Order: sequence, then structure tokens, then C-alpha cells
Amino acid sequence: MPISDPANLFQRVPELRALSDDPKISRAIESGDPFKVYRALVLARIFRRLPEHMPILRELTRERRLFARPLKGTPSLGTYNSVGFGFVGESERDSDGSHIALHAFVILFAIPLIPMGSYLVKSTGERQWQIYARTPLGIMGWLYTRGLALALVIMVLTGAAHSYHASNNQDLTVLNGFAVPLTVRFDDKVVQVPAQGRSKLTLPTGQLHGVASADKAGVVDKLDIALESSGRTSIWNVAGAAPLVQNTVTYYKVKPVNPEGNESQTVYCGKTFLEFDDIKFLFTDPPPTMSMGKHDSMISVRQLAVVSQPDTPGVQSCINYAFDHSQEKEMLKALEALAAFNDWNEGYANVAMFAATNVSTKEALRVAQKALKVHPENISLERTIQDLREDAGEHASMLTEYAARKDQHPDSANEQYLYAALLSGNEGISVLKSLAQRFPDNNNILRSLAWRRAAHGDAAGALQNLSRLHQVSPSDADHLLDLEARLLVAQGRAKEALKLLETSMPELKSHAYGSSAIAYYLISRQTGGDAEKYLKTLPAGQGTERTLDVYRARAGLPILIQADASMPVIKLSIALRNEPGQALTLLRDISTATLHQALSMDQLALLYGEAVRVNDKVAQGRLRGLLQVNKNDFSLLDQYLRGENASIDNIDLNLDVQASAHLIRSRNQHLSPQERSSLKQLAVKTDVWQSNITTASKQWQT
Amino acid sequence: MANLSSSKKTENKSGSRPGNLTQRAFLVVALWLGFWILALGLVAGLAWIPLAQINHRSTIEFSGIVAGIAALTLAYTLRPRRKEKKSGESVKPLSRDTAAPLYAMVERIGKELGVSAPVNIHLIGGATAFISDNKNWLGKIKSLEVGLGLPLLGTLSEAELGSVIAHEYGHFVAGDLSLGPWVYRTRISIAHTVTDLDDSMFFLDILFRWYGKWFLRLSAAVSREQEYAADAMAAKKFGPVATRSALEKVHLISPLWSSYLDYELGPALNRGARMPIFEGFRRFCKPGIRRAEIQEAIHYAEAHESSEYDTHPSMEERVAAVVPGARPGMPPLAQCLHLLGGEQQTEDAWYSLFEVEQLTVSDWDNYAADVMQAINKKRFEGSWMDPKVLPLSELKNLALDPDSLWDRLRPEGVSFLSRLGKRQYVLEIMEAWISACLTQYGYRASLIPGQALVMTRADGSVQPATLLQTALLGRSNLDDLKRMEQSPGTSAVTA
Repeated sequence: MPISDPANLFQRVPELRALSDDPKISRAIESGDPFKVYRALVLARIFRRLPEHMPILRELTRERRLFARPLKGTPSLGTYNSVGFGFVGESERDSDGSHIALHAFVILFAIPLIPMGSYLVKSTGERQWQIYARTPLGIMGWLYTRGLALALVIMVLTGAAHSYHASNNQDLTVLNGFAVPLTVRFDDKVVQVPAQGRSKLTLPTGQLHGVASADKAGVVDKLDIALESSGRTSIWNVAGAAPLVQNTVTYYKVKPVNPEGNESQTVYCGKTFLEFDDIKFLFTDPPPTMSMGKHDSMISVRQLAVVSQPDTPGVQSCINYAFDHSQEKEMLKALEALAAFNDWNEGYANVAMFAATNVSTKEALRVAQKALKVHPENISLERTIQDLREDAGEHASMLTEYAARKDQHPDSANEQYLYAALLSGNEGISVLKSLAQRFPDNNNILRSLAWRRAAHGDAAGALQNLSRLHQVSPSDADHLLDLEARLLVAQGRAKEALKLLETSMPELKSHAYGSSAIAYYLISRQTGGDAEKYLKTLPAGQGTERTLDVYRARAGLPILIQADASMPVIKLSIALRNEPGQALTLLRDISTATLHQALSMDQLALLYGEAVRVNDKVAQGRLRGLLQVNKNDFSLLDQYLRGENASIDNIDLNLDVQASAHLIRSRNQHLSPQERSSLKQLAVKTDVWQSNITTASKQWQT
Repeated sequence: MANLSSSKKTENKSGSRPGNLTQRAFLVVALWLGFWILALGLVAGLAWIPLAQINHRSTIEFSGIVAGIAALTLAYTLRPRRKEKKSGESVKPLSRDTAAPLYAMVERIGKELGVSAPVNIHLIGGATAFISDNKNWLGKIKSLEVGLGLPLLGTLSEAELGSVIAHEYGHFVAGDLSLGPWVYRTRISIAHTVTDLDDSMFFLDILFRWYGKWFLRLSAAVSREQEYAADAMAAKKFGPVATRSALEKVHLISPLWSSYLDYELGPALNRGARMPIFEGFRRFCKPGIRRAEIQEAIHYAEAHESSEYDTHPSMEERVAAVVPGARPGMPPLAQCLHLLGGEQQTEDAWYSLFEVEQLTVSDWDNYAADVMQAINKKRFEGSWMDPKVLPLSELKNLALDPDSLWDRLRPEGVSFLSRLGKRQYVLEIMEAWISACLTQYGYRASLIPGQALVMTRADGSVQPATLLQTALLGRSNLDDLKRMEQSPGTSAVTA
């Protein structure tokens, strides 16, 4: 049967006629592709399919030029740095000098890496060729290139599958800064994130709703995001609790004298969802050295890490950082979770409420109500809620509400107390007095009555109530230790005050210890004796020498370590004694939490009064929350401080606040000299310990 | 172009028969669109990989680089290409003066079929016919170009030729011509793409090969349906007898005519001889021992196996469609050369269509002696094989190892011939050299188209091909060779 021969192979290779009875060879001839014919012959030879034609098969497959195809174009030639495309090898040389050469991607000019094809060429000089035709690759070369091609196709298909997956999904790393494991759920995907650990989730892109929960606390955090596929690193730091930092690490060819400018650290405490570009080291340490281009003098890389401190949970590190940098509100979620993990115990609840206050009164109220739900019997929490509602302008509605509650529970001392607590001034004192007679053993009534009597100048009455409180609830009485000492001094019983403080000192911790140590110093200064008894050194566990210097500066004593003079709170304490304007300037660089911890009430009251006087709204805003003054009473207090026609007699103010208010008012030039003098005297008289207020009255320029 | 030629056997899969023009047009356009969707989709898909990697992962992986290169390679192969204009592509039509009866017949048939467009008739070399249209930019038909093969005029009766013309008009009336360009464009695009991607590093050519085969299968099926419809129209117009015999004759003469054209008439024209066309064909068709290559070519053309890629149904199927139940036969040949004024006028009309250098008028009795011998003599003059320096008696020595002559006879440039290919090349030259020698010794050449060259002298005849074969077998008689070197009547000089 004649077969078609589109490539005219029979003319070039008549021997093929004898082989064309083989179906595979004839199919190859009919395809018109000489390369296929060559491969069919090679396979027939290798597998000995046509034993009777073996000599012809051997002869034909020795000459690849017989199966040449015309050139499609000039093959790429040219190398750069000995790498590129070129012809290598020489085989089947003919008498005219033509030979078969391999066209390949080469290295070092002559080592073929990727064979591209074979050509019939004639060398015309150093790496110069006359190219005549394409010839088939040898069977091994063909198998190699086809294998390579197959590998590339598989790689491209795999790449396509990965790209498709990548375009529809995004990795999300979930960080847990808490000391308990969390369960994180995104629809049907659930992952356990170990305590102080992290887990990676691959999530579909689009709108997602994630919930992080813990066994004890329930839902800790929620995440609603429109997740997009990108090359960025996506992180969910649950409740912002993990101390996540981004470090920029710079490598130098020659390290400069001052390299700090190029190194930086950004802390992301309190931030929940974050996306980062160009992170080179994700939760891994950068190497000590790194290779760089010969023209580069330095190279900067970014690293993401979670800071870990021994014995300190990540969330605590973050809370400390946030409170040091006035970012308390950022940590509200974490603090709420932490309080929940600890059964809303008072300490954790108070910190959470403090952070919430920085967000809004509404948030603080929400947090307080959560705490109250766990501890419904806690009157202190109920009072906190009352204060917050007061701040929210709910005084009238509260009066109605608590009056109703009081009437519903006429025998409940606490309900009666909660109602009375809403009344201020003489009315409040009067109601509390009658309640004290009905419920003589109720600690809340006694405590409140003692404080109010003190605030309104009834030192003797207040001391009576405190005496009773010591019997009924010593711990409540201890909370008013400072007030009691103050009242005793006012009654001329300074030695009793010192004794009271001395007795209490061993039981006091931290800031309470510091406050009492300062009180002891101030009182002893008046009575004589070793005034600095508690301010020379601090007992173990009560703080460092630096803490001692903070106390000493507060008390007006010289600091012990000269370097501590640069501490902002110490600088502020010192400035406040002489330069109130400078003190307000220094205030700007100190966080609210630090002010709360490091300054005493007389200092805070002086700063607030001066801020009102000079109309520094920012300082006023920051200090208001620290003064223990009802929000509704600030209006009257501010008027009084500004020297306007107002009285603070009928509002319940802390004695230090009262004293500093008198002093600040006395600084108003438009008041008569007599009135200013009398105000100054009143301030000094109210400041029974002769603390910073008395010092200011002497040293502040009028 | 709709071609009349038919193949022997084609499977008629009625299941794949598209129906009316709308369906066929939809299929062809869908196939064209399919190619571009496949190609551009593949480019887009490959290009998407690196882009997705950059967009979604801020990095490009090695697979992305490879995919990007593949996308660029494929996009390059799909680039628009300038249409190459072949010189002499447009052949002059027959003038109305020389072919008035033929024009009248073609236009009459057109009119009867409702086609009123002006017609240009072209004479073509093959045993085929075609119709195509010229449109203005609004798509309106300006003229119809009708091509008729010379052998049709020389072998078909007027009714049979009319049937062929009606068949071509049938393609036009059915709207087949409007589908042709779409099929052509798609085939060209696939062919370019497959050629450029041939042996692609990424196997990209495989997809297009598959699509190309699928496209050819479907478009060929459409094409075969068009042929049936055109045959039906021809039979309706000129009757099934004429249509059937036209199909049978075309099928019969086509292999012979193409071999005649390729092996005799064409080479003669290339040698500058203007030959009597129909006379040569008649001699070619007469019984006799044909040259091996010609016999093989005819055999190949006749033995063509039909396939699903054929654009025409097999002759058996077409005959059966025209005359249900009929089997192909061998009707007596006829002719309708009078439509062009007679045989000589037809040949004159055909030769006048070419702008070739001056042809020398010759005839088949003298062509071998006047043209072939002169050219062959010139070929060896001055060479080491010049019969004056290399006498015929050397044939015995040369034939001992013809392969050794390759290095002396090889053409310039590199060779792609196998050992046997080289041998054939050498033997072809040796045969020509024998002819040149015999010419030198007073032999005169004669050639019957299709048969071997014969050299004759008063003392006898000899075929150079036979002489060569005898020498190769080592059976040459040196005395005989030397005698041929002598003039007739002189005695050979013996050593």
C-alpha cells in the first residue's frame, strides 16, 4: 500500500521504503515530521521490532541529518559571563565539514544545561557557525528535554494550583498572649491556640467572623474582617494581649559609630488585627550576618516577634507597656479577659474598669456591670457603677431607682446605704447619721459617714465612726488609714497618728506603704523624732531604690541616687514645689497610669487646680479621673478655682483637694488681698500634714 | 474554493451531518471562536500565574517565571501575520472573444439557478473546478470567478461539464463560499500556531494539535455535506446520468492527469518546450510499460485511503447519492473542446494565460531529440564526464562502485541524502551521462509520454536506463559498449 510522504523522505532516504510496512514507521512518515520518523526508527532499533532490518535501522539512525527539517528561524546564540545559549559538541561530521551540534543553554560556554535542539552546522570561526537545518535530538537528549518539559508543565500546573489557592485563601496567624489556651473558630474551622503560643490558619478570603474563646472566660475576642489575599503577613493578636513587636534589623558592611538610627522597634500591644509587608523573619531570629550586594553598604530587614519575659505572661508585659505609654484603653479587651480568667476579682476588675474609663463612661459601666454580675454582693462595685452613672448624668434617675430599692428592702442596710451614697453635702451626712443609728454595725455606712464628716470638718465625729469601723470591719478601717491619721493630727493627736501608722506599716504593700511612709515623715517632722524612718530604705518586696526616690521626692526630701533626677515623675515632684507652670509642662510626658501610681492626692489636686487656673484643658482632662471628685461637682470646683463667685462647702471633697482649691483660688489677682490671704491660711490649715500644699503656699510666686 | 475532486472511500457519518446553512455557519464560527478562546484563554491563564503570585504572595516563584515565558511564547505565535502575496497568484481569465460559447453556457446555467453576477472563467491545470466570489466592502458580490480544469474540457461531454458547473454554482447558492474564509482563517491560525510551537518546551503544541484535528474533522464533515448538496443541485439541473458520469470520469482521469502533469508536461515546459497538451495525454493514457516512478505516482493517487479529514465524500458515496443503489462505472470519454473553438484553440488559450519566457513549439515525436538531447549534451560539456573524454565503455568501471562517485558528483552545499539516496543521485547522473554518450555516438532519442526514454540508431535501439541497470548488475558487455561508441557500420578496434 503506497503511503503519503509529505516531507519527501523517500527521495532523501529511499531505504525507508523497505521499512514503511511497519505501521509505526509508516504513520511517522505520513505525519510529515522527519523527527518522528527518526524516533520511530530508533525505537524500532532499541526494541528490536524489525530484526530483519536491523542493519538498515542502525545505518539510518547513525545519521540524524537524514531527518533534518528546515530552519524556523535562527536559534538564539550568545552568552553573558559564560552563561547563555550556544552550540556544543560535534558529531556525525561529513567530509564537507558539516556536523551535528547541540544547541543548549550552557554554562561555562560548553557545559549544556538545557538542550534546546540539534542543528546541522558548519563552524566558521571561534564560536561562529553556519546553520543549515534542524536535526532530531539523540534519543537520550530527546527524552531529557521531554522529561524537562514535562517537569516544567507539572511545575506550572502546580504553580497555577498554588496561585489559585493563594488567590482565594490567606494565612492568618493567631497569637495568644494569655496563660491559658484559646479556642479560635472561623465558621467550621477550629484551632486550639496554646497558652502563650500561636497557630496558623489558612482561611478563605472574604468577609470572615472569628471568635476566640476560653473555657473559663467564654468569648475573649471577636474578629470581623474582610480578609484579602495578599503577600502580607496577617495576624490576629487575640485581645491585643501578645506583646507583638516589629523589629527593623540593619546589617552593615562597615558598622557605623552610631547605628541606632536605622534600627527600630514598633510595639503592637492592644492591636488585634494587623497586616505587615516585607517581613523577612516571621517569629524567627535574624542571623548574625547576612550577604548583600557588592554595591550595598547596608541592608535592613524586618522581623516580627513576640517578646517573652521570664515569669511574666505576655499579656502582663503588654499591660505594663500600655500603662507606661498611656495606651490603657487599647488593652481593655485583654484586661477584661484577664479579669474573667480571675473570676473578676477586685484587683483585675478595677484595672479593667480603669482602662474602660479611658475609653468612655459607657464602656466603664459595661465592664463594671460584668464584674457585678459575677459578684452581685459587692457593694464597692455597686458604688463604682453609681459613680459612673453619675458621670453619665443619671443622677436623677438613680435617685428614683435607688429610693425604690430602699423602700422595697427597708431592712437592708446596704440598700439604704446605696441610696444615701447618692446624696451629697449636709443632706447626705444627715441621712447617713440616721442610718448609722439604725445600722450601727454596717461598715459601708460607717466608712462613708466618716469620710464625709472629715470632708466637712467634723474631725471628732469622723474619728468616732472610724473607731467603730475598726471594731466592725478592720479591713475597711485600714482603707481609711490615711484619713484617720490626718484627723488625729487635726485633733492634736499627732503621736497617736504616728502610732497608728507604725502599727499598720508591716501590713501595707507597695503604694499604700509609700503613702504611709510619707505621712509618717510629714507628721514626725512636726513632732520631732526620726522622720525619715521609713524613707531611708525600703523593705524587701516594697520596691527598688528608684521607687524610694519617687517617695522621697513626693515628700520633699532629697533623692538618694543622682541619676533618678532625670525621672519625669521626680522632676515633676520637685518642680511642683516651686514652679507650677513647669510642672504642668512636665505632666505632658507622663502617662496617666504613672501619675496615678507615683503622685499623691495633694500633688494631683495642685496640678489640676493650676491647670484650671491657666486653662490647660488637656491637663484638666487627664487629671479629672484621678481626683475622686464626682463629675457633677467639677463645674462648681472649677468655678471656685477660677476665683468666681462660688462655694465648695456643700460638695464632698477630699481634704487635699479642698486645701489645694483654697490655695489655687488665692492666686487669682482679681480677688482682694484680704480674701487671698485668708484663702491661703485656710489652705495651710486644711493641709494638716503641711505637705506640698503648704510648701507651694510659701514658694509659688503669687 | 469548492473542489470537485473526490476520494475513493469516505465514511459517511450521518450523525455528524450539520443541517442548514445557519447551523453550518454557527458551527464554523463557533470553531473559529473556539480556537481564539482556547489560545487567548491559555495566554491569559499562563500570564495570570506570575501576576497572581505577585499580587497574592508578593513574590514570583520559578513556576511563575516559566508560566510567564510560556505565555509570551504563545502570545508571539498568535501575532497577526501579514498575508504573503504570491506573485502570479491571479491568473488572467479567459477572454470572452476566445471562449464565447463557454461563457454563454456558464452564464446560462447561473441564470437558471438564479445567479446573475458577472462571471470570469479561468482555465486551470488540474482535473478540478472551482467557484469563488469577489465582494465589495459592503459585502455585495461584484463578480464570480469560475475555474475549469483543462482535462475536464478534454474528457467530459457538454452535459457533464454543465453538471460540474452547476455543482460549483450549487456551492455559491448554498452560501458555502461565505463559510470558506472562516474555515481557511482558522486552519491558517492553527497551522501557524502548531508550527511555531512545534517541539515546544512546554508541550503547548499538543493542545493545538488536538484542537486542529478536531476542527478538521468537524469542518471536513461540514464540507462533505456541502458536496452532497452541490451534487444534488447538479443532478437536478443536468440529470443524474450526466452528474454521475462526470463524477466517475473526474475520478478516473485525475490520477493519470496529475502524473502526466508532474512527470511529462511540467518538465517539458520547464525545458522551454510548448507541447501539445491533449495529444500528450492521449499518448500517456495508452497501454504500455510506464516508468516506475510514474506508475507509482498513479498507483498512490488511485489508492488514496479516505479519512475523516477528507473534505469530499468518496466517489462511491457520491454516485450512490446521485443515483441511489448505483456503483461507480467507467463511462466512455468524450470532450467539449468546441466550447473554446477546438483542441488547438483551447491549448492556445491556456498557454496565453502564462507570462513565461518564449516557449519553443515542439511535438511529442521530436521533443526528446530536439529538446532533451540538446539540454543533456550541454550538461556534461567540459566536465570530467564529457562523452568526449569519458567514453561509454567506462560505464563498466563506473558501475563497479557507483557510490565512490558521490564525492565527485555531489551537489554544492551540505547533503541530506542517505547512502541509497546518494546512490540514486549518482545513478540519475550516470543515466543522463549514458544518454549524452549515446547522443555523441549518433543515437536519436524518442519518448512516449509515461514510458522510458529510447535511443535509436540505424543499428538498433537502446534504453539508457536498461543499459545502466545491466552495468550495475555487472552484465555489461564491453564489446557492445565499444560498438555503440563506433559509428554504425564500422568495426570495433580490439586491443
